[in-house]
Amino acid sequence: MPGPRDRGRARGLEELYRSHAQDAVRLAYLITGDHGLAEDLAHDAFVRLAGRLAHLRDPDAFGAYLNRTVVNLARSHYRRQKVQRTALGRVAMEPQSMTAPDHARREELWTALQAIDWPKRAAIVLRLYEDLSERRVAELLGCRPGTVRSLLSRGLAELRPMIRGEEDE
Amino acid sequence: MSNENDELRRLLRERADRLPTQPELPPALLGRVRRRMARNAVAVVAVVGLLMVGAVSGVRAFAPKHHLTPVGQPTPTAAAHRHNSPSPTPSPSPSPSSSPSSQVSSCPGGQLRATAELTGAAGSVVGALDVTNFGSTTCTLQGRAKIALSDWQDQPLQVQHVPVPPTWEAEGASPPPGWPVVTLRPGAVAQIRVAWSNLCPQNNHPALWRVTIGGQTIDVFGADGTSPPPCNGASQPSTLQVGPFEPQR
Repeated sequence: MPGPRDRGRARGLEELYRSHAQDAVRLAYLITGDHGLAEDLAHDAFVRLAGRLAHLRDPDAFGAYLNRTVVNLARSHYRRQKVQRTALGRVAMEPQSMTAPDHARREELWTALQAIDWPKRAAIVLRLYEDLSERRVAELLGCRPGTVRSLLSRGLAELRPMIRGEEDE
Repeated sequence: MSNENDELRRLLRERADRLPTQPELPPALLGRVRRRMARNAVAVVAVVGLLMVGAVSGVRAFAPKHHLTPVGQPTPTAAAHRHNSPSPTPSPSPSPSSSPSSQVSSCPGGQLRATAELTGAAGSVVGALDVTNFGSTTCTLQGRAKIALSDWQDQPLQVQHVPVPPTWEAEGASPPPGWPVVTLRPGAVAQIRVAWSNLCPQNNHPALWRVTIGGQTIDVFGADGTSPPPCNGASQPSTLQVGPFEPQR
């Protein structure tokens, strides 16, 4: 039977989960393009971080720590398994349920985003979705700000034909 | 450019918003967190214990780092010891263990952890890889580990391995007891001295180090704070000097 301290801790964890887990799953999803994998990564990150909650330098920054851990786990995942081709195949096999031309273009853009190398994709997601500075993105990706600028430039260049297509419509 | 960014930003938000919400902490996840907390607590106790053990032999831990010979200038006795063949007559077991090495088996990779203590020096990255026995049984290491290097994107780096003599020999000291067998009690540490030179083209991202021991490859932690060595000659190979296992000094 859990004591009051355990119940209090569980409530604290539930609160942390409610506040931050969804954002972490979204970030992981945008980086990986795979909802199941994104949940696994976000949950792994939550377990790791919550497991050493007492030792965090700034527990109030749990969300930032969680995002950082998600990025690190995603990087490890791609390093270990080199699943980019598999993920691309999986994305390509997803049913194109939206038939309207605009939606079809967005699906194409999404597929193209998933097809580019993961460091470029992660840089784009962290810069545009999370609205992080280039310096902060560099910290999260473990590289220099100049490298982030290069990743963003090259990543956007690869996506530009799709985006231009949308603008031309 | 701004329109492009806005378009992508909209796409990313739209995709993120499509995900189903999961506001409640799954019970299984709560269980995992609790187990993790318990494991971390045990790890803290273990680390404190190791620190206490380390304090007993602390003088060794604070011994000055050894110096490595620059590439192409082997020590006079290097050639004689490159074979690193076992001594025909077993001698007393080495520090950090007093167990007779003949009674214990070689360390499986699964019970070892490797950490790096590297610094940039005179155009090279020099230091040591510390291999710790995290198992509950005493085991032995002997000979040279296979070390592989990859860049930050995990692409293998081509390096030429150059065997070098152990630190004690480079310093003209007498061999440690039990040499060349290093006996590791639980928590004890063996060392491999390394020196890496000339990586071309120049690359400032820390490399990934992996070491293969007993048929198992393990990641080396702690090397991510050191940049690779500078490019000193594109026509020359990148070289990695690797010493044999030796007791931690």
